[in-house]
Amino acid sequence: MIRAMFTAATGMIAQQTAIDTIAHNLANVNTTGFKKSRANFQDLLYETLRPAGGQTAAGNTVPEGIQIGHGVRLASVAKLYTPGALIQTGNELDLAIEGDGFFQVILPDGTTAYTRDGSFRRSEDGTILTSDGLQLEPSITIPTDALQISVSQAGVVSVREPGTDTLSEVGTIELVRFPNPAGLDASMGRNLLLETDASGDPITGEPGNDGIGFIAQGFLENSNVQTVEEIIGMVVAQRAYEANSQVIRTSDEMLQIANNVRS
Amino acid sequence: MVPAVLGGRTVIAGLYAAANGMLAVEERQAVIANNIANAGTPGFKRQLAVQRGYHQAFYLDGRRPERLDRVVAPGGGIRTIETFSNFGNGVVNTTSNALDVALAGPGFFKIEGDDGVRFTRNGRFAIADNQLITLAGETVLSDNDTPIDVGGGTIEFDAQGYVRVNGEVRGRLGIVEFDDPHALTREGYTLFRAPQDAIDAAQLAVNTSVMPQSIENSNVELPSEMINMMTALRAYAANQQVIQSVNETASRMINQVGGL
Repeated sequence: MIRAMFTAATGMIAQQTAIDTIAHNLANVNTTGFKKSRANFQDLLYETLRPAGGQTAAGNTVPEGIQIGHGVRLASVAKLYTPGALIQTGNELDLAIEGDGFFQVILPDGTTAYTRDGSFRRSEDGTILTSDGLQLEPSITIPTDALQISVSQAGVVSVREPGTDTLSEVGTIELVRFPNPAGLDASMGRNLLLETDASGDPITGEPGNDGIGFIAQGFLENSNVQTVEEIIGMVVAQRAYEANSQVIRTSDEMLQIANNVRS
Repeated sequence: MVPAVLGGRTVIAGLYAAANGMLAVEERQAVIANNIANAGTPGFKRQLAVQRGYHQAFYLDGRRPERLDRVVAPGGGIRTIETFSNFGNGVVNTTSNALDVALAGPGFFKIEGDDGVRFTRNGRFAIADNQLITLAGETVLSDNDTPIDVGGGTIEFDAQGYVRVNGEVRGRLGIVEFDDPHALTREGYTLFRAPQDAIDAAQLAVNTSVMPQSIENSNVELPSEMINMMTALRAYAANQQVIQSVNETASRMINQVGGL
């Protein structure tokens, strides 16, 4: 009985985490370059009251033992790097990645962070920055008098300056991909990700090679959160939460019955 | 004289039978609670507590051996004899995540952790050091019992279990089928352990197909579990009522029969 109560409590805690994750996903349904998270569950350890394969008093082999589980645990909350919808903005520094790659940006402390959010801006001296003001790596500077910026699918940035009809190259955007993007550390928020031991080392490449993705100028990648999917997940989690609370209630009633044996 | 003794024994037997009944229901409730807690665990297989009566356990009377032959003799309540795993397939949902793999059919993924070879139906995988691993970090084995190198590109599974990276075959998932999956024991973390003879007898999957970018949900059915729980609750209450009435009967026997 007591066992059942604690088992159900692990179930409620797990479903609460599922709801927390869904809430975060739904809050970011319109966040550029956002990747949804998913809570992954596993069952907890089992208590073996009678092992399978043992002998009964009558000398028979026990075909299937008695194993009673202790509920559920959170195995991981991992991001799913499926592509989001591309939205046309027409802004010449809005860049989307059509593939698995990430942009590299330099944090104020000098370390490199990674992002799928390609809504770039120019600083007053023409350096390409993220909307948070972090510098794109490798650094590309747009001449301040440039009339037009063109970014090719392969990431080559060219500008047209006054008095000419031709584009001149000012730099090439580099992308990176990870052996295991689900291992990236998303804890700093702000659409930025950090590499970890689990993600593996970044593999640098030019856009278009080995699935790293092409660059789409004038587009932004929207969040990959699917509202309907999340709402269904929410309904399922809520009902599972309720079911677990019913287990606690039933177990409580049973304890009450047990206490009333001698009435 | 003899009927009175027998009567008394029957009364006490009823008391133990009802107490055993309550203990057995508690075990049932623990199994139900675990099923409900894992209603959202991928690859989880629900359990059923199988319970059976104690037959004639309280009739071992050396003076009257013929009683042992009475099949219909009231027993000593019930007890759990096994927790039976239902290996029926859960509902498969597509997730569009390249590292989610569901199995349709009776097979299991073969994986290797620190404690040796284990089996699972939970196909949520990850990559570490370019190798395919489970979320708990165990290595996913190929059909040759080797780790699968999946580094350097876009990973893809096909229905036969072949793993491709950028279109190039890197190996085939080691999916095995057992003659009798009930020989598997549970380890938690959605892992099953198999006895060595079952591992030796297991064969590579023929009736199992791989569903890429999908996940097999828990096969727990909440409505059935709720009904099982309601039945358990009422059985518990009924057993308690038996204890109370046995108590009353015994009380009358002791206090009133003696008073005559």
